[in-house]
Amino acid sequence: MKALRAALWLIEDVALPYHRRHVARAALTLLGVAIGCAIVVAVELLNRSVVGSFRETVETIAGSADLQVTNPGAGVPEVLLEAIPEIPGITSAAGLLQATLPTPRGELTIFGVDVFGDQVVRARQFPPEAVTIPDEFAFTNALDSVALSTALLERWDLAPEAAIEVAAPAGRRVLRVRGTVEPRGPAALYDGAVALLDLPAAQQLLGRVGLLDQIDIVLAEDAEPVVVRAALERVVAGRARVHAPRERATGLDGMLLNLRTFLSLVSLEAIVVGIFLVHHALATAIAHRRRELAICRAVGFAPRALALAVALEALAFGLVGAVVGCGLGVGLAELALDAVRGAVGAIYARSGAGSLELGVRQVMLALLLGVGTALAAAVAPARSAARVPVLRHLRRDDGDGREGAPRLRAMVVAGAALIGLGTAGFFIEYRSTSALVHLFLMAVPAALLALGFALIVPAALAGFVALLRKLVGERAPITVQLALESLARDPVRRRGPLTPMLVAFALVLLGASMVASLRASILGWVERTLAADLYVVAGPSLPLPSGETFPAALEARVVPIDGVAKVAASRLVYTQLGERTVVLRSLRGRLPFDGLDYPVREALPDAAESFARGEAVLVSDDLAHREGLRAGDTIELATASGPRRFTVGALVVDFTLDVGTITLEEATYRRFWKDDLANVLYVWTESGVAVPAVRRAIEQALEPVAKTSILTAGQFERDVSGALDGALRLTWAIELVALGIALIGVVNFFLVEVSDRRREMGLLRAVAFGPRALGRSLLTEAALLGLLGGLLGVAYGGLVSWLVVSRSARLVSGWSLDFVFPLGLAATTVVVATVAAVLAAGFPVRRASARAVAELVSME
Amino acid sequence: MQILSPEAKAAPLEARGLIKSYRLGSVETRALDGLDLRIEPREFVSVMGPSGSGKSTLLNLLVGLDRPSAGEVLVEGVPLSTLDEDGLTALRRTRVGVVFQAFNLLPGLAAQENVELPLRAAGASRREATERARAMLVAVGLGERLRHRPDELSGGQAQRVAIARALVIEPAIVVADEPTGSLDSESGTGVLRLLRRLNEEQGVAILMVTHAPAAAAHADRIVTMCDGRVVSEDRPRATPSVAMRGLA
Ligand SMILES: Nc1ncnc2c1ncn2[C@@H]1O[C@H](COP(=O)(O)OP(=O)(O)O)[C@@H](O)[C@H]1O
Ligand SMILES: [Mg+2]
Repeated sequence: MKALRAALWLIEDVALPYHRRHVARAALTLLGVAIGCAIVVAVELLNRSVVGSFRETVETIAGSADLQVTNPGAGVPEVLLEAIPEIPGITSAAGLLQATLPTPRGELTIFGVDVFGDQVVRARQFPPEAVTIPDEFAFTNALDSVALSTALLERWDLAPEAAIEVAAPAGRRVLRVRGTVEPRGPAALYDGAVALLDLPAAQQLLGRVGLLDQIDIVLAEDAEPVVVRAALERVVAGRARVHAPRERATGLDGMLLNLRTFLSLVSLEAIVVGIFLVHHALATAIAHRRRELAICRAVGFAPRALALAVALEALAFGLVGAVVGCGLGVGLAELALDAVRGAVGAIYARSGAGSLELGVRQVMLALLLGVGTALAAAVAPARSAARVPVLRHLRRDDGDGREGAPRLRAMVVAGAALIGLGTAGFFIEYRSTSALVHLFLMAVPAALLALGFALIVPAALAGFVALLRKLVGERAPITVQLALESLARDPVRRRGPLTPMLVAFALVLLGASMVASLRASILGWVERTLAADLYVVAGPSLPLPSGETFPAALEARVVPIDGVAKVAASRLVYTQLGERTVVLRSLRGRLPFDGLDYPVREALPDAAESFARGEAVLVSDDLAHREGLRAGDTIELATASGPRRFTVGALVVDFTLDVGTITLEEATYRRFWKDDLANVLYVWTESGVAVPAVRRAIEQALEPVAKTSILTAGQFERDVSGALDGALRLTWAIELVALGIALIGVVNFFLVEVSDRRREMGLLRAVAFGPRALGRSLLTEAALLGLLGGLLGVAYGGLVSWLVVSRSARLVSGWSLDFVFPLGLAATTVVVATVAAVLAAGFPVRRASARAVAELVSME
Repeated sequence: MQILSPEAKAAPLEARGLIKSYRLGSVETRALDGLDLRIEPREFVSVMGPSGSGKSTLLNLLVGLDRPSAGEVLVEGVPLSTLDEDGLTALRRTRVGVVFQAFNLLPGLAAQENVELPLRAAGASRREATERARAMLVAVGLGERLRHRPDELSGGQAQRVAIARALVIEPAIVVADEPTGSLDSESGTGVLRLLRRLNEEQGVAILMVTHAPAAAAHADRIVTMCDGRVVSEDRPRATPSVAMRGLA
C-alpha cells in the first residue's frame, strides 16, 4: 500500500512532467498501442459483422424452421419435397430458391417460394398478410411475375406492372411487378432489394428446374428432434445435408479459416509492433531518468516502488491506448467493411449489412490487449528501474561506466539454443481448423527466434566491430577508429536500437516474402494452367463459384467463329465433401487438358483415362492435405442424382480458392448435377490469327444473347494479381508502422546516448576534436549500427520468412508455396537501415556537438 | 518513528573492521582496509583525507548504498548485514539522512517537493509531507523559496534544500559527502553554520566528509583517513554539545 502511494507520487511528480516535456514521443507511444488495439478490434468487428450478419441472414431466411435440407452448389432435388412431409414428426416442409441478380438499378435478391402454399414455414417467412397480390391468377400464370418489397418499390419509384430487367443466368429477362411484400423477415434483408417469385417461375428464371436451394422444415411440438433428424437423414441420404439453420454459419467459419488466420497474423504483427513501441518508450524514459531514479533510491524509495511506478505508467499507456484504439478500430473497420464484405460475399457467401457497433467483447479485448501489451513491454524497464545503479549516478563524475564484463559467450549459447528451438518449433506437424491454434504455433517459435537473435546481437556487434577493425586497421581516419572503439566498449548496451530494428525489418521482410511467395506461386500456376487465349466470363471479372453464370450452350455459338480453334465450357460450384464445403470444377478433356496443364503432385497410372471417363477426379493438394487424401482413395460427392463415388485420380496444385477444389470431367458433371450453366468458356485461337479480331467476333456473336465479358490471358492474369494485391494491401500498412518504430528506436537511442555521453564528448572536444570531427565520429557509429541492424534483420527475417512460407503456410492452408525471398527489398532494407540510422542520429548529434565545451563538461 | 532519543544507548552509527575492495580486471584495490569508527549521539564528526583515501566509499557503506567486503556497519545498534535491500531503503528514509556534494535534487521538482521526497517514499499523505517539508525549509532559511526549482536556486540554496531533505525525516544521523565541495567559500560557510546549528538545535548527529580544514573545524571531532584507514583523531574545540553531554 505504501509502495503504491509512493509509486503514484512518482508518476504524478516525476513521470508525468517527463512525458509533458516529451509530448511527441508520448503521443507516438500511445499511437503504437492504439494502432495495435485498433487492428485487433477492427478484425474482430469485421469478423463478427461478416460472419454474424451471414448467420443472421441465414436464420432470417429460415424463419422459424427447426431443420434445413441443403446441398450447396448442386441444389436439393425437388422430389424430396414429396417424401419429407411423410416423415413422422414433421409438420411442414417448404422449398426455397434464392439468387441475387444484377439489374440496371442495382442488385436484386429473388426468393422463389410457393407463394400461395399454406405451409406453416412459409407463413412465418412471408406471412400472407404481408404479401399483397391483387390478381393471384395472373401472378401464377405468368412466369415473369414478381412481388416486390414495398421499400424497393418506393426507392426505385416503380408502378404496378412496371418492368424490371434482370441479368439471369440464361441471359436478360424482364420481370413484371404484380404484387408487393412488406419489408419484414427475409423481405427486409439486403436493404429491401428483394423480390418474391413463385417457385416454378424462379426455377425457370434461374435455369434450375427441379432444384431447390433449401427445404425448411418445422417439427411437430411433441416430436423428438434427434429421432426426426435421423429419419430425415435417411430419406435425403447422399442427395443433401440436414442441419439446423444455425449450423450453416459454422460452415462459413471453416471456409473463412485462411482469411481469419491471415487477419489474425496481421493483428499479431500489430501487437508485436505495439509491444516494441511501448517497450522502447519506457526503456528510453527510464534511461533518461536513471539519475532521478538513483536519487529517489538514495533518499529512501524502495526498488519495488520504482518498478511499480513503471508498471503503472505502462498501464496508463495501455489503458489510454486501448480506449483510443477502440475508436480507431471502429473507424478502420468502417473503412474496410465494404471491401471485406465484398470479398467474402464474392468468394464465399452473401450477407446483409452487419453492425459495426462496439460490443463488450471488443472493448474487453482491446483493454486486455492494451494492458497486456503495455505490461509485457514494461517488464524489462521496470526491472532496470528497480536495479538502477545508485552509486554510479550519484557521483559527481558520472559516466565512467565501470560495469562487469558482459557475458557474451553465455548469451551466444542461449541465443543459439533459442534459435534452434524456434526453428524446430516450425517443424511440428499438426492439423487444425482453428485460427488461434495456427497463430499460436506460428507466433511462439517466431518469438523464440526473435529472442535468440536478440541474445546474439551483442556478440554479433562485437564480432562485426572486430572484423572492421581488422579490415580498416590503423589506416582508417581517427573518427572511424573512435566510432569503432566506442562500439566495442560496451556491446551489450549498444545493442539498444538493434533489437527493435531487427524485429521491425524482419517484419517487413516477412510480409514482403509472404506476398512475393504467394504471388509467384499463384501467378505461376495461373500462367501454367490457364493457357487459353481468351476467357469468356459472365461477370465483369474472375469466375467464382458464387458468381455470375451463362448457359453452357453459348459454347456452340463460339465454336463456328473464324479463328477459334477450340472452346471448353467450365463450371464452378460449391459442393460438400463430408462436412467441408469445397469448389467443384468441371473441365473437358484428358490429362493434361489440351493446354490446361495442372502441375501433378501424385497420380494413378491411368489417371488421364479414368478422368476422361468421368470415374476419377482431380483433388487440389491443399484439400488432400487437410483431408488426408491420396491418389487411389475414393470420395463420395452429393450430386443432384444422389450420392456418387469417385476415385481420386491425381493430386494437383490448384490455387482456385483456398477452400480446396475438386475437378471433374465436364460431361459427367452435367449428367449427375443436371446443370447446364457455365462460369467460363476457355477459347483457344488458331495459330497465326489476330486474337483481338477473334475477340471482337466473339463479342458480336454473344452480345444479343448474354451479358459476358471477354478477357485475354493477360487481362486474366492482371485481374488475378490485382485481386491478390488488394487482399495483401493491409500487410503493407503494418510494415510501414514497423519501419516507423525502427526509426523511432534509433532516434531515441541516440537522444539518450548523446545525453549520457556529454561528458565524454566534452572531453574529446576539450582535448582534440572540433565539433565536425566529433559529429562525424558519432554518425559513423550510427551508420555502423544501422548497417548491422539491417544485416541482422535480413538474417532473422529471411529465416522466419522461409519457415513461415515453407512450413506454416502449408500447415494452415495446405498449399505448398514456392519460397521467394525478396532480394531487392533485403538489399534496400540494409541501405535504408544505414541511412535511417544516420538521419535519426543526426539531430541529437548535431545538437550535442555544437554545444559549448564547458556546457558539455559541467554536469548540473 | 521517533523511537530514538538522545539517551538511547546504541551509537547512531558505528563501523567495525570495514573492508571494501574493488576488482578491476586482475587488479584489486582496497578502498577501505579495516576501518573502525563510532559516532556518538548528537556528535558532529568530520572526515578528512586525501583524494582516493576511501572517504566516499566509507559513506556509501554507512548509508547502505553499498555493502562491505568484510566488517559490519551498525545503525543505532542494528547491523546492516541483517537488512535486505528493502530494509536498507527503509533505513534511509527513516534513520539516516544523506547529503551529496552534487546536491542530487530532482531537477523537475520545486524545493518543497524535493524535500517531500523521502516522506513520499515512506507513503506519507500529501498534507503531512507538505507541512513537514515547509517547516523544514523554513528551518534552513528557505521559507521564501518553496516553489523554486533547483535551477532557480544558487548552489548554497540548493545544498540547503538537500540538507532539509536529509533532516525532514528526523534521522538519528545525517551523513554528508563534501557538502561544500561545489560551493564558494561564503555559501560554504553558510551551509556549515546551518549544519552546526541543526546539530545543536535538533540534536542530530552528523558525519561530514570534507577536505577543507576550515570546514572540518566546525566539527566536534576530526577523523583523518589515509589508504582506507583512520590515521588520526583530533578534537578542535570543546563544543557546547559535548560539554552538555559530559554534564548529563
Ligand atoms: N566503483 C568503484 N570501482 C572501483 N574502484 C573504486 C570504485 N569506487 C572507488 N574506487 C576506488 O577506491 C578508492 C577510494 O575511492 P573514494 O572512496 O572515492 O575516495 P575519496 O572519496 O576519498 O576520494 C580509489 O582508489 C578509487 O579509485
Ligand atoms: Mg569522494
